Formats: sequence, structure tokens, C-alpha cells
Amino acid sequence: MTDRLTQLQICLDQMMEQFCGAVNYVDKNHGFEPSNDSEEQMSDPQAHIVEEKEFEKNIDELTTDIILKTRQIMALIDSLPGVDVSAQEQLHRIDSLQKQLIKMEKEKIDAIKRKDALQEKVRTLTQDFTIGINESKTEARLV
Amino acid sequence: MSDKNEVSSLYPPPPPFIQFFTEENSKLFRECGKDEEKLAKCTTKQREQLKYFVKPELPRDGSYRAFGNVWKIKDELPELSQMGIEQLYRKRESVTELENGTTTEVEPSPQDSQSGTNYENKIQESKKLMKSLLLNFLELIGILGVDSSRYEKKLDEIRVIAINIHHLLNEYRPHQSRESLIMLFEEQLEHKRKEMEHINKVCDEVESKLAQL
Repeated sequence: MTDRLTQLQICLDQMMEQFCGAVNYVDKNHGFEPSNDSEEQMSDPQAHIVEEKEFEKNIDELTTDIILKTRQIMALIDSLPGVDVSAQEQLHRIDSLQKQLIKMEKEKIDAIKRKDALQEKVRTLTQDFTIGINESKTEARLV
Repeated sequence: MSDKNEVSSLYPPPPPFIQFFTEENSKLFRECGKDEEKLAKCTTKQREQLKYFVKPELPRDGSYRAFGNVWKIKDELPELSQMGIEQLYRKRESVTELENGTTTEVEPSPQDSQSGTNYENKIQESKKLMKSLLLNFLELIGILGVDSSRYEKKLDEIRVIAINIHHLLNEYRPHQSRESLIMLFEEQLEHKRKEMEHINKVCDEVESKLAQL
């Protein structure tokens, strides 16, 4: 997933395409409706005229799409991260996090050292144990 | 064979001088550097080759061409006015002045003037721009319905608004990157903490088991 800003910009571009698509649709399929009563209705035998009902339905769909896209964009704008913090605050936070991270890393290394020591201890212990068993076995056999 | 030729035409072959960048030459360059005296001791061929080790100067006019575009050496977002586009949202200076009186002091620094400090304002402005974009589209539709020859002005206005929104969003980018960095750090911190806890837990268990022996 891309970051929010890129998403927003993609949405914006999509909206532009929707605009184009809508204008294009009206241009290609309109029914030569006169703009006022004094005008005569024009016609063009080559034009592709969609039935009024169908036309209305599609226009409705196109507008709904644009409105949905707008809502999506608005929601994305609202969800942009860190709206209420200033750059200074962010830098402070980054700084302190960095220090914490370094500290944590040191602690982790200590923990790993502890683990290694313990591992070694357990290893020698098992070794001693097996050797002990072995010896007692041979002793038992000798006896 | 012909396939290979096609591929090599996609990516141009490396410049011929890369073969001068040998271990030997780079060692020689580290020793001599720009020292004329030492360089004089080298052979002409070596001198010729060492020339390529000296970093070229930056272009004087502050920009260069690559992939058919002009790029600035300093990676910065050009102001809208520099691109010949009218800035439709409020300038930051006036906003920070307003803010200064009431809330936190905003220290003006060169970086701030580039990226802007008040992001709350940016959100508001981008919403406003979005709404005017919609309104302008509606107006465009209206104009097209009445007199389609007058579309050009409105179309240009829509274009300017769209560019403004994009620009506004791009100005927000540094802020977002910082925010992402913070989130990344927090995640890492949490991950490390868990890791450590786990190690310590296992160690504790083993120790207690050993103590029981």
C-alpha cells in the first residue's frame, strides 16, 4: 500500500478522469436538448442518442461516483498522519526515539550475553552429566 | 544474438572510462590526490586515467538534465509562483503570524519556509480547494451547456486548482516522512522490547530449573 499522500494524489487524478469521463459521456450521448424555448431542437443523424431514462440513470451514476470520490478524498485528508504536531515536535520525538532505540539495543545485547553464558553453562552441565553417566557405566562394567 | 542487441539498446553501455577505475588506480589516486608533484612522477597514461577520479564540478546554473527532465541539484519543491501558477491557498507567513499570537511560537527557519509549519491549516486549505474544484467542475458543465466556446477559461481555472492541490499535498510530504519515521521507530522499539523480554523469560526459566537440580 502506498502512503496516504500518494493515495490522495491518485484519487485526485482519478477524479479528474471522472470529470473527463462525465463530460465525454454527456458530449457523446446527449439528446440535443435546447437551452431555451426559443431555440429549435437540433439533430444529427450520426449522433448516438441515448434514451432519456437511460441517460438520466447514467448521469446519476457518474455524479454519484464523483461524490463518492470526493468523500473518499475528504476522508483521506482527515486521516493524514500527525496533523496536530509541528515539525519541531516531530524532530524531538524522532530524537528521543532514536536514543531509546540505542538504549534498547544495548539492553538487548546484554540479554543476549546472559543467554549465551547460560547456554554455555547448560552445555557444560550436560557434558559433565553424560561423562558422569559414562564413567559410572564403565565402572559398573569393571566391577 | 538479436535479443541481446535489443536489451543493450534499452540500457546504454557504461561509459568507457569505467575501466580506469581499477584497484591499482584508486590506490594511486589516494596516494597522489591532486598533488602535482606526485602526479608528475606518474606516467602520462596514468595521469590521463587519474583525471577521471577527480569529482566533476556541480553545474553552475543549479540544474541538470536527466531522462528528458530538468532537475535541480538541491532537491526542493519549487514554489508555485516559480512555475507560473497562481497560488490559491493562503500563504504560510500570514498564517504563522496569526498563530503566533494565540498558540505555540513557531520559529521561522529556512527549512520551515520551504515545508511550511502549520499543517492544520494545510488540511483546511486542501479541503477548501477540493470543494472549489467540484464547484468549478459544476460551473464548467453549466458553461458547456449554455455556450461551449467559453470553456477555455474555466478549464484553465480547474487546471490551476488541481495543480494547487497537488502542490499543497507535496508540501505535506516532509511532514509525512517524519511521521512515518516515528512510526517505524516505534515499531522497531516494540519489536526489540518483545525480543528482549522473550530472551529474559527463557533465561529466567532455565535458571530456575537449574536451581532446582
